[in-house]
Amino acid sequence: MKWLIIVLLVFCSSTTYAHNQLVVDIMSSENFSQRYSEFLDGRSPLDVQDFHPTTKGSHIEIIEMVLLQQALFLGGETREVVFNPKPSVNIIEFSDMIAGDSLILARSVWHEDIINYRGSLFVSEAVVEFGDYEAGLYVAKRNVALQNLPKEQLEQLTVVANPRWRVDWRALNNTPINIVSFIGPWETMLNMVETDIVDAMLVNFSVSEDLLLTFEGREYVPIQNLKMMLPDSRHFIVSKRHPQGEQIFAALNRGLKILKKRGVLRKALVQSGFINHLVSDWQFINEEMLATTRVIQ
Amino acid sequence: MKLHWFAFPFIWLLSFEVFGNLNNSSSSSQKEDLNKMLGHLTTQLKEDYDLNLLPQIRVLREQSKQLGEKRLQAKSLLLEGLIRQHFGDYKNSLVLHNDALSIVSEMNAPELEARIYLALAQLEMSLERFRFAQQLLERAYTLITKSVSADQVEQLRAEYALWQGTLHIMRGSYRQALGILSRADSQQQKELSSKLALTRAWAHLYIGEYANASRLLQSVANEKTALDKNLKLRVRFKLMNAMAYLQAGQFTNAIDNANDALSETFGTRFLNEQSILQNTLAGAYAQLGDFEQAHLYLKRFAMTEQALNLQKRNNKLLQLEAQYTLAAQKQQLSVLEKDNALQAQQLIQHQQKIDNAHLAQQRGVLGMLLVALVFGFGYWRWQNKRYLTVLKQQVAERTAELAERNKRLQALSFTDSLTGLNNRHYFFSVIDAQVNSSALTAHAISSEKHEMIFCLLDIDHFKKVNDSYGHAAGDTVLQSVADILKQCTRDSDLVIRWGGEEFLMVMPNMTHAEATEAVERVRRQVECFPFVVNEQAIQVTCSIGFAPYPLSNEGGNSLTWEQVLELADNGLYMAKEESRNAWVGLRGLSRPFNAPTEQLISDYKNLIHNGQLLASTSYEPQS
Repeated sequence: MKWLIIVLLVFCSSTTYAHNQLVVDIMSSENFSQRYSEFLDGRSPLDVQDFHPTTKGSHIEIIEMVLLQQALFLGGETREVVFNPKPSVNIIEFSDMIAGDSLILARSVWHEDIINYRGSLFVSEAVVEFGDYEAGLYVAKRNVALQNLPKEQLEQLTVVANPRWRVDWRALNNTPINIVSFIGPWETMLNMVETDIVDAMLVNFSVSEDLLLTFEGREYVPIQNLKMMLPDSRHFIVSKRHPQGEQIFAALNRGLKILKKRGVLRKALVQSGFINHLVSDWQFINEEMLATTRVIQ
Repeated sequence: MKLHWFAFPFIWLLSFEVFGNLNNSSSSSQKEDLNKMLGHLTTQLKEDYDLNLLPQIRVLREQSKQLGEKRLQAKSLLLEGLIRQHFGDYKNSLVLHNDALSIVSEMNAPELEARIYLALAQLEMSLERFRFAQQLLERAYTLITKSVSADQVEQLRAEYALWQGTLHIMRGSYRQALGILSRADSQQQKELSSKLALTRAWAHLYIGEYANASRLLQSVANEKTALDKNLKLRVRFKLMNAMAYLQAGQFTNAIDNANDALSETFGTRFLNEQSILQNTLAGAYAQLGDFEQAHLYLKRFAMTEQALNLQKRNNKLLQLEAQYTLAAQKQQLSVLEKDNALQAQQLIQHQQKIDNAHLAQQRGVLGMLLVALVFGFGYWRWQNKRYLTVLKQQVAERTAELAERNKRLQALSFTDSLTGLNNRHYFFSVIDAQVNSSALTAHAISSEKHEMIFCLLDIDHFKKVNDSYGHAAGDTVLQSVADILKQCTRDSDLVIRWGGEEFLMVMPNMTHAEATEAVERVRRQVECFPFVVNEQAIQVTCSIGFAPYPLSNEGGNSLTWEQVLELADNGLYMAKEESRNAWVGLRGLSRPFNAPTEQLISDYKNLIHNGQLLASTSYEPQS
């Protein structure tokens, strides 16, 4: 009997505890928890005001985790957020979210990728606006000749790209650059640059001071004064079928609007180096994709 | 009715052309037939891409070629190219399009040329060669804006916008596509207008703007004729409706529309549309929870994609092969060129060698010539010098010889041949110099009276000797007297054969006493000399007269040596007259004596006797 009471107590407390948490899915392959903890350094994500990077790696995923929590909180969702690692395949296909098995993702997604699922997914306000996402053409650091390649000679350049990264693919397709299609690990693509199979690869600008990207002891630098605009916006998505979907989405969107109004979104992106001040005066390679009359829906 | 929607501009164009040509060539029944044929073919093409039309198209082309109807010929080429493109024969389609272009480019028909560029751009787009497509579109745009006549511009601009927008969509620059499409419309052509609207809706759908897309689709739906006529347009319309419904979350509507469209695509080659429709259906079913259907369509989608990819792969492969062939040809060409260049180089080198050899030969010959010339010149100079030396030597020799001869001649001319003594001629040539030097000596030793003695000697009775013993004996006497005179005089004295049997001695630097001694010695030697004539000894004597030089009277008038000589002659005469074998020598003038010189000579004897002239004699003068 005593045992039964203890078991019941434990069960009740755990379920109560579970009810007081908000489970946010995260890719198990992209386990940022360590870098996330390092960034927080004991702070509550809600208290983060300074988004300057503490690591040299890509920082946007950490910032998004923090921004998501701040937005939810500001939107009225005060429950503690718990990150739940899930297999990458499920997340890329959004099947769990469409089915309502999964409520929300910790990372933003390209709008283009969820166009056909908008009947099943709530799409938040843009975290990254169209035109704000910039990337560099990274070449091996020893390849000095390519580092100062002028825009007029880009047709000499060969870049490796994954056709499944449709935004990257489209961006490159609107330049004179030669594209080598490769579906496989990101690391292999970097290695292709290292081994001169291709000249360059499209990568987010590094947050380091000299834009240097270091991977496994090898160094890469962007072609100077040239940047690429990735032509899409990024959004958080929430399942429509999930019982809490509507409520969470409402809170998230409210919160995001507040963050945007307060300028926190912009600040976070700038401070984190995602919108990199070092390349603000660099020339766009695919600026034609920007210069259009936007038709308002 | 299965028709590729890309074909419509051409079909429209062709029909336009047919009418045009009908008007122009009403007179020619053959041309009329051809135009009718084109019209018929165009209508049939609207029904379907019937492969059986190809032979007729070719006949049309041949005939229009024979008639010189270039427009018709180009049109027929485009028509065949269109059919070939539809069936995936991109290579030959490209060739046909380019043939049409080469015909049209000579015709100055910018609108037709622009349309061919647009058609070529579509061809490149279906081959996913976007860069080439862009270049062709730009060419078309340049023609449209600069060369095309005003009545055609609007239409062509709209067509250009349609294909430029399509290209932007294919490259994934949807906003750019919207930018160009939103500014384009065709009021005249409802079908083109519908196509523009559909393409615009397509771009909207790609960026998730389904509401805008729906509005545009509604406008297309209002214009039914275009949709009724054109299958591809209709399929696309339904496809986009389905996509818009899917994006809006109206899954059932999406499925209805998609199924409707899909049923129309069976038996067609609209693989792209099929694949998108199947994907849409899969998406819609999955979101409805009907995973069985979703899976089914996903499988079909995968198969269609596979077929599409295969088609793409084949096209890419063909492109690669073409590129490889071209590269191989280029390589062969470059190898040949290199080979040629090498051979040319070798030829040049060979030629150079020959040239060098020639040059060397020429140099050698030149060098040899030069050496020969230098040698010849040297030899000539040497010979010349030698000859000159010889000549100089000869000249010197001759000069010396001449001098010697002159000397000898002079000597001969100054010498008496019989006695070997100098003659009068010699005397006259040297006497002035002798007189001057004697005057100098006289000044130097003025303390003693040293004078120059002019002494004349004549052999006594010489005529007798000649007459008695012959002229040879006379000559012998003369020679002996001459020898005596030489012995009795000093080397410095002059001994001259004065003429006949007369001799002159000029003895410088001598006192009167010494003169008398010398004269006496001569007289005595001659007197005592054993003259042998014809082996017979004879005695010969001589008479002598002499006078000193210089000789001055009281008045200070000096006598010339000629006058002195005359005085000596007077002395001789006096000695001959008064004694013979004697001498008379004038010592000087007694003082005061101031008779003129002429008197002195003419009155010589008397003056001596008077004592006015001081003279010595070897005998006692007769008074």
